[in-house]
Amino acid sequence: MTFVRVVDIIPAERSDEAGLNWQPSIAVNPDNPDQIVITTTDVPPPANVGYWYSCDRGGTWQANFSEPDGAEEMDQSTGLAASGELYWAVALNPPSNTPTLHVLRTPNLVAAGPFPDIDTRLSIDQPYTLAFTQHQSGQPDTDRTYVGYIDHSGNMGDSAAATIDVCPDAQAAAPVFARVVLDHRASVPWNGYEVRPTVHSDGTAYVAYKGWRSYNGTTVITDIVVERDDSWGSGGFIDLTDPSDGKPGRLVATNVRIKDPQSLDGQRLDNDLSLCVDPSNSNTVYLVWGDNSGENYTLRVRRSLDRGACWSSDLLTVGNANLAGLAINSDGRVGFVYQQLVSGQWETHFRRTTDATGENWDDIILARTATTTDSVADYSRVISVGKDFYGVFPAWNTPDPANFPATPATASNPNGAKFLRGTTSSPPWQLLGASGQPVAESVDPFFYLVQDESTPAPPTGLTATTQ
Amino acid sequence: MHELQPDIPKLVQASSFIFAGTVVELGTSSVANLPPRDNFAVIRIDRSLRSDPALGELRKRVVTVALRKRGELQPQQRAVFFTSDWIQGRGIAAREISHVDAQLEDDVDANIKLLPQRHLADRLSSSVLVIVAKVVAVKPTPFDVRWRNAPQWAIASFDIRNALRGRPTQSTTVLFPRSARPTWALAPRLSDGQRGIFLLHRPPPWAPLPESQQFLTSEAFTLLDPADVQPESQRPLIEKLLGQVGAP
Repeated sequence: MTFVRVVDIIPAERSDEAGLNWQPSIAVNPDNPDQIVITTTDVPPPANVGYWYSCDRGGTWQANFSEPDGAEEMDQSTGLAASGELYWAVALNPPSNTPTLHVLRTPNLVAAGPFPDIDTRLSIDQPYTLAFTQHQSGQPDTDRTYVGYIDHSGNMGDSAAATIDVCPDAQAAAPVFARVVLDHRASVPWNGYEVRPTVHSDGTAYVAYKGWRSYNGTTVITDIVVERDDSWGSGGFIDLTDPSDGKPGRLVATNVRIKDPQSLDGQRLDNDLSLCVDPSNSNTVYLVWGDNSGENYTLRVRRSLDRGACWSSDLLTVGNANLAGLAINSDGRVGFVYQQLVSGQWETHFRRTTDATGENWDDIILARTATTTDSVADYSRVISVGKDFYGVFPAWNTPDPANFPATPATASNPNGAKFLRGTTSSPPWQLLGASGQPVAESVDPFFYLVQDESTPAPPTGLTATTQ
Repeated sequence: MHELQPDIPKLVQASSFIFAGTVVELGTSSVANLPPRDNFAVIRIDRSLRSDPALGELRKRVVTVALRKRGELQPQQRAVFFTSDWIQGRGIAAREISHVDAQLEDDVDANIKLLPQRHLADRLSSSVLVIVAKVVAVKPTPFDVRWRNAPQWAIASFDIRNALRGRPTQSTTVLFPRSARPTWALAPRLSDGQRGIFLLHRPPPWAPLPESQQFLTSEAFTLLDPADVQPESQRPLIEKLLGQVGAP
């Protein structure tokens, strides 16, 4: 038996909201998974700058909108360390229109901003944060923090370099971030948008990115590259080389074709790179990306069992899908989230490997919702803690229980998914504002938890689904 | 009171959440997971004057305000609170910027209602041309692949009936973004036949212009702010404001 929770995180206090919550991302405290943070970008600007947090494993949510809003909020993600420290990487776009990375830090999710800024970089895109607390016998714990991004600062608009900032002690009074430019080959004209790190407790750090080799305005030809560092990222990610040229960075796939720009029913594609390491075995890494090698845009899952040296063929492919995310739990079971366009609706799938081959997967449909002409996200994220998986997906927020197949309606939860904001509790399914008036539907962030039945002290109110 | 001679227009500009309210209790919190502090006051909202629309109707709801100074307010005291947003969910919390006597409530409200007009005056002041015109053609420029946040400009030409500011020519054109990316989401979109008053600005230094300028029949102007397109019914107000802002 697996327990599934799906929650529309918009709180009751914001029941009149009808805006787009763009590109949700998630972080979970691995030592206290009651603490969860989700970031979204409110569209259109100007809007609140802040994050959403839960102190009860996703059952209820609050917004902390206290960061000064003098700049437009753009891409962002967070890392929540076992120390309880939140590392919030947010690209803010000031009136000068130079998207600037700020890594903000707070030990207290309810604290009021402005938060200390511990890493700043001009002209970046897609910051992706990973925080990992290193437990060392006889020594204080340290928060190692990794922020992947593409760096446009060389020539704004014309080039971007896959880059990762590595900090060995992000809780220090004055943390030092080492900037590591990843691509060791010629990129033309830039590297692709995603830079995705993952790290193991033995110090093995991997990072994946796209090394573009050509772009003609309609089609990208790219390599899918994985780099590895065997000492927490302190050595420049040069410990894994490719046999073709001896340079750092294993070319998992070469000459991969991706149409760009490309949309799937309004949803922008070419952002589906995700990488995860097995927390119980640093030799094992799984990778997913999306490409147009076939007729349709297709997600491809592959793996390496020897620290990135050799890679499988496709273990799983999914056509007409995006927002891919991967994580591996403490049992070595892989979780894979994506949204797939099926019969004119977005289906949000969460799948897990069912054996060690990596070729067999179960399938939980978390949501089946209407499409929207708005682009709802470039990327998504799923995180494992112990045996459980935590994630967030963007979806049209009609509170109809038929939209949430994994969480059937109950008397106490008539909408299937748990809605914190105002809704009707019987047909017609509508959102309701603070005064009980109907509110226009829009895109909301939906938290999900896929929990193993053996997890100790599970939260109450979960809906059971047999898988 | 907190401000002996409050600069209400400045406070209004600086505050995202403004309300008239009554102090219910001091030193406590009405928000889950937000422990009480000495400088907290729980305020019952009597009238919301400026707030995030997502919060809906706020009258009679309570908000925990982190006061700048303790000891200035007493239970049951009424005041107008200028605050910035903080926590929304399982209660509402805000951070005080200032508060003024409740007798100034209508004055504060009047200043809030003037915010759109003040913004329009700012846009008029920074404009190069203000024209009463009809859009006669809209054409896209080539798709800009340099940057995902590129504005993806379109170019519009006009049949100009009057110039309220500056000296346009009949070949005057303007660029406006077609991209739906957040940076450009609020910019006006023009269409063939659209009539109105258009506030044309020089491109800001950060806005990437089309790689090829061959489509421009005049110097480059842009429309980027929602206030840059006004209905013709606004002409009396615009002429009045132009008289106040001076020459470009």
